[in-house]
Amino acid sequence: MTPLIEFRDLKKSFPGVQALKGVSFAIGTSDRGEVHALVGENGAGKSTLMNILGGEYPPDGGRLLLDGRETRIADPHAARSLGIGVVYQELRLCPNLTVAENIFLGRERELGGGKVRWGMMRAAAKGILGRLGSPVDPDSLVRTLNVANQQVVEIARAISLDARILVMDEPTSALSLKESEALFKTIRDLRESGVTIIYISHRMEEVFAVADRISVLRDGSYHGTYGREQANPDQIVSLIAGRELGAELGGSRPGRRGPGGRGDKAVLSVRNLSRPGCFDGVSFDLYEREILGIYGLQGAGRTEVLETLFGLAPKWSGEITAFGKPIRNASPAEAIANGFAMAPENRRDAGIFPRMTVLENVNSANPAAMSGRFGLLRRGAMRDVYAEARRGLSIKTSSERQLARNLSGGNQQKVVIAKWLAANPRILLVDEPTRGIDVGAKAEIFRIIKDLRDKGLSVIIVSSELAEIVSESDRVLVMRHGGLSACLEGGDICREGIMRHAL
Amino acid sequence: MPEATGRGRFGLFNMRELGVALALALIVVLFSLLSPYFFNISNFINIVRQVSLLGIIAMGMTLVIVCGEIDLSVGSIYGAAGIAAGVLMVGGHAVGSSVILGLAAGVFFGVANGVLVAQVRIPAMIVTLGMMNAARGLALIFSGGRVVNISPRTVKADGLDWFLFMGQGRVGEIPVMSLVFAAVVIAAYFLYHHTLLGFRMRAVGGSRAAARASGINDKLVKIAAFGIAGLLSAIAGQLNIAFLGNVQGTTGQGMELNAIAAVIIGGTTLSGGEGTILGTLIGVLIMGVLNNGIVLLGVSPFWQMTIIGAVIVGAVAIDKWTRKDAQA
Repeated sequence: MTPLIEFRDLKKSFPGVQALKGVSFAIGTSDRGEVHALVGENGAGKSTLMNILGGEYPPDGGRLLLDGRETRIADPHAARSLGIGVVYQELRLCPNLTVAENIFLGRERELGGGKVRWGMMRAAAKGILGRLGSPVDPDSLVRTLNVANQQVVEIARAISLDARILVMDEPTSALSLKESEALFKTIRDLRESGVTIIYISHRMEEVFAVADRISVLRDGSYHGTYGREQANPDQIVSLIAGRELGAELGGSRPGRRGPGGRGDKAVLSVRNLSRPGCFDGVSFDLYEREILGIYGLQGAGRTEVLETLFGLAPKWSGEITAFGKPIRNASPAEAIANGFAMAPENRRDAGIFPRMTVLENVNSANPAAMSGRFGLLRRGAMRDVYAEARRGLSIKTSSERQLARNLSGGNQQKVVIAKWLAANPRILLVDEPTRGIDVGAKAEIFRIIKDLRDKGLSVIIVSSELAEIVSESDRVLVMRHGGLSACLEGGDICREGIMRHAL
Repeated sequence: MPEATGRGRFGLFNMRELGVALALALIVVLFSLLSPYFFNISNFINIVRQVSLLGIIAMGMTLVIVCGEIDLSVGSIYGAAGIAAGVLMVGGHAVGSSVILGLAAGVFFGVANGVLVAQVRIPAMIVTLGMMNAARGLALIFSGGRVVNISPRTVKADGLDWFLFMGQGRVGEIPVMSLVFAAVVIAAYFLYHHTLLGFRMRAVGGSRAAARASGINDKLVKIAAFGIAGLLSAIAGQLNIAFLGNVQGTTGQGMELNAIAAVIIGGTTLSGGEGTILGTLIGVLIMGVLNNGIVLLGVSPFWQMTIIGAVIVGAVAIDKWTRKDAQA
């Protein structure tokens, strides 16, 4: 019996990270359908694997076999003609077109045998939506649908392709319970009709409700396939989390302190912080001289909490108290004045000024020092800040006039941190401190962050890398579905413990 | 020394300005060889006078484009501000206050542009297209559709002499108008390269998200850029009426596109965040030299537009091409 899909030693690297480190396993069989769940933490390689299958990009090495034959999937179109349909997590719909138009986008002439027949498309769309148990009208504009219904349209589009292989990347993340159940029924029906469904999800209940087999990925490596009856959710969670890997960042928890090491004064108290559609009822304290890690899976609301604290959220409720006085932080300017600083997740877009020089970048959040009377720039003072940053954080630049966009990811992150240090913050928020940064620079970034903590700064880091959170945080908050699910200290901070609260 | 683009420098110029300057030199050499009338001081003075008003407007346009925006209304503001001052003078108001009101009108139009773009968040293309028409309409209403003449016969108030001197006079050989242009270039250079406001214009244009996250009030910065563009257009409008001694409702039509062309030829990118005052100055001179040289050669003026058009696209194409090199 030939497997339907077989990965053999598949490898893929992106700048600063090896997303797939030689993955080999098989999915489905040629003669009948299967629901195959793919599980793993953020960055385990699930999406990379599915993007390769969907023709988004080629692997760097290894082979992909379909029906036992080696296949190269050059682009998404090729994937489609091989019978592979992908429902991506981020919706790919044209909001200005109708549901039916979206479902048949790019294939307008298919049903009419070379002619565009909107009537047939509408009828076909209605049929598919009916099969999905969805009341969505094929003539309504996608723009007017809520996210759940837009998701249904994506699924309908994939089904309309008569795909043999259907990849669903967290399809239920925006669906209600009832809609999810309708989806599960559809998935089972599709399987009966011979379709193989690759189902990516973080929710163990769903995985065990719908999947025949479960494959686990961790850190870009394959960690086994289990039949639904062979394993229980607890075992799978352990596999996803892996064992304690303290050595990953060069030594176990370097410089880690117990709760006694930090100051006992809360510099920041957050009470019942809520932002509609993002997170709800988040309360925590941040102490003097500590690194507070926030972990959560994608969409848990981690980044949104940081944005809200830094004045980038449009609308929120709750209370924020910093240094004993209540604050609102309605804008970044106000947050900065209150002693906050933030190194954002999307460093290249919102952290650095890519087309400005390093000298200008490190001065960009520090108007008081860089300009004198009448707003005149003080080149001398700016050079001092640059020299200090270069020395203190060992930023590698060819000259002060080098453009920030030409720096490596690690040096860009240092530039962002340097820019904030020049503004003398007391609370530093760092979102994904090491995204796109190579291993050597990662350790250096954390050495800098720890140094700052020891000098009295309070730091919050948000990271989707479990290993990083475990080894670098003094305390860990875990978020799940927009709420705080745990606050871990000392010995409780371990991969498995965190993962249990995150899933 | 300003760190304008962060690339290498060559004397006074950075690399990109150097490219534009070389292009200018090449055109000058070409016309010198082709026409016996081109290469002499009085012709050069003539060229600079011809581009002075465009140049003043292009300085403001540079700031707006660096912020990542565009201003299509500068030509109308140029006309309307001139009309306002002229009509007030003819109506018996003091020359000085008429001019100040004309300038204030320019600032008002510019700030209105800025507020609508930055605060109300309507795309600049639409806001300034609207303002282009609105200011043009106001100019026609205010002048009653007639030519406004200012001369000792129509303007009785004192001070007309010095006002006309600003437009028509010369200091030695140099037209006063060109001296004003020089002063505007120096002021713009200083503002752009040596003040916090100029720095922030580049920051906002380079990355609005990063600028906001750095606590920069991007709205105020944009409003300032549009306001300055309005003021400079109005200054050019005053010099224009002083130079010609008259102004009409249609004055300055198409000026906005020439200003944008000069800025783009000078190496400023439409996406914002990059550009220099010196580059725009050279861009303005290139347009002036091309116009002048083509006329001297006796080529049909229709060719002027064709050639300028090719230069605009060519300049950006060459820039894109060399930059790909620099980045690789």
